[in-house]
Amino acid sequence: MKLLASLAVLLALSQGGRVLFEDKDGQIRLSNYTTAEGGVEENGEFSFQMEGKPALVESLLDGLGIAGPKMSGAVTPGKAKSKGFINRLDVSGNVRLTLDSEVRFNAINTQLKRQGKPEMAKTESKEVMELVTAQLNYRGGSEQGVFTVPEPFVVRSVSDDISETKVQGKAIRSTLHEEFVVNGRSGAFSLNPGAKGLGRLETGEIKGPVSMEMIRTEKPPEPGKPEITKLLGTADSIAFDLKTSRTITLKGNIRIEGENGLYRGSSEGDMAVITLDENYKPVKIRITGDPTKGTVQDKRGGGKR
Amino acid sequence: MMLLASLVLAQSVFTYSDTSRDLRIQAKDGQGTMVESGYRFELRGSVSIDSKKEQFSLRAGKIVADVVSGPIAGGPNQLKAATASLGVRFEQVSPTGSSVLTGSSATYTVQGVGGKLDAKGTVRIVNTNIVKKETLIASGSAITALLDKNSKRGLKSATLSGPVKIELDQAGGQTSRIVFTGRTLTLDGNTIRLSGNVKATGSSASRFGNLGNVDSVTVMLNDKGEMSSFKFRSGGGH
Repeated sequence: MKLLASLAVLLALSQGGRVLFEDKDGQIRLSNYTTAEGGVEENGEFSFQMEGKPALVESLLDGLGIAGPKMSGAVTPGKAKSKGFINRLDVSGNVRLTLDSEVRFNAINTQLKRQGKPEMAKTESKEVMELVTAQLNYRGGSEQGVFTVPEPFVVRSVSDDISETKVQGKAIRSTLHEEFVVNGRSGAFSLNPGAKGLGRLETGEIKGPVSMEMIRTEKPPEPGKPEITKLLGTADSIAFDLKTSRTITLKGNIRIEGENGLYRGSSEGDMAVITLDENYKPVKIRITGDPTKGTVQDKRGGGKR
Repeated sequence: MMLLASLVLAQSVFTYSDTSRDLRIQAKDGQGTMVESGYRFELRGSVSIDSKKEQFSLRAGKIVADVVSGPIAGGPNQLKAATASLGVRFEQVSPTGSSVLTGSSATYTVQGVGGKLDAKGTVRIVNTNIVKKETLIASGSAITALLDKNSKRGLKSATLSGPVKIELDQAGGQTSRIVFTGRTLTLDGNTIRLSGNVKATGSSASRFGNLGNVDSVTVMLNDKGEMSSFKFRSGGGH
């Protein structure tokens, strides 16, 4: 509910906020400011300082919105064959970052329409990620960038999708609801706005104490029963690589608790590596440490630790 | 004593030029009367006043011009003051380009080494650089400009009141332009300041999009008269 409420605020801001700047395609947008100053250099970079209630920077083709009462940064406006991007951004106060698949979808279709190309068909998936903190820094280029969060923060990722599997040649459509929440003291990460679900948290490291909670609900058609997987973890730090190895690694004083699904019970140790499948569903958990204390074992391991 | 080298009152055209043939006046209809240290010309119909020395030309449908002797005996005369109306066009040339100012009516007075032009109506400034490229086009409802053949593109400074609009070439872009609008505009050398609900929009060839409703913008021009950068401020009591 909190996530939905804050998204509604951001949506209202992006629709009705006083626009300071938007690039040619209207994909990079700065708005909702009360005071602002900045400039444009010969290289075309648009630098700015804004204050607002809150001020908002959006990269709509990424579905990205960053709101905060005080921010400074620079954007490179898009050109005919390259999209605009945020070069750097420093936001302080009550900072809220969102990645919204629907905003991204609409922006892509707006651009396709403008280019006279066929629009994308609407999908049934909906993905929203939100980060709340007191300070956020970003340094990036046209393709990739790194967010640094030096203050305590919370990330909430909610995604809804339809998964289709074939059982005896018959297509079975299940709904999938996934929630991922992580709290940390500081961290640095890169995002992939085009990825699904957890994949949007592409790579990074969060320092803690850190806590994470993953709840996946897969609901097959009636009369099938929903499969709910709940995984809780705490550690000194969490590293994630959801781009190549698709792993979440908890390090130092780790504790894993699971209900249903892959892992049931709790374990403590020095390190836990959670491996996810291509749909970011946990398929393997390896816990190491001396000693480790456990009440159960993951489904694929075998034997109690 | 000023020398009136030639004053021709013909049926179809009035012409005047000083002994050095530097200051030339032409009109369909004109008359001259002596005033203190010079002449007053009342001119009508396709009036033109050109000064080779001062590198300016003034065109209008109607001009009342005061011409005085220059500092050197037998040298060029000087246009001391002029009141022009009906399609006024003033062009000041300099080694770095030229400025053309147009308006419905204008008054010109000598000021220092150059001149001051106050124009009203739908006024316009067009700056052309040394390679004959129009790099700046500004418009408004009134203008006060200081013109000087030794200044960049002949324009020392200008204040336009509005609503004002200025189109500028972007440095580095072949055809990219940015259009600024606002309430007032001042141009001083290579610095342009706009204030009051300033908006900026890039042309189709420009990568710049839209800057909306800021309190003030300061634009820096390079020596070619192109926009090299700009800064803006809004809110906070600026």
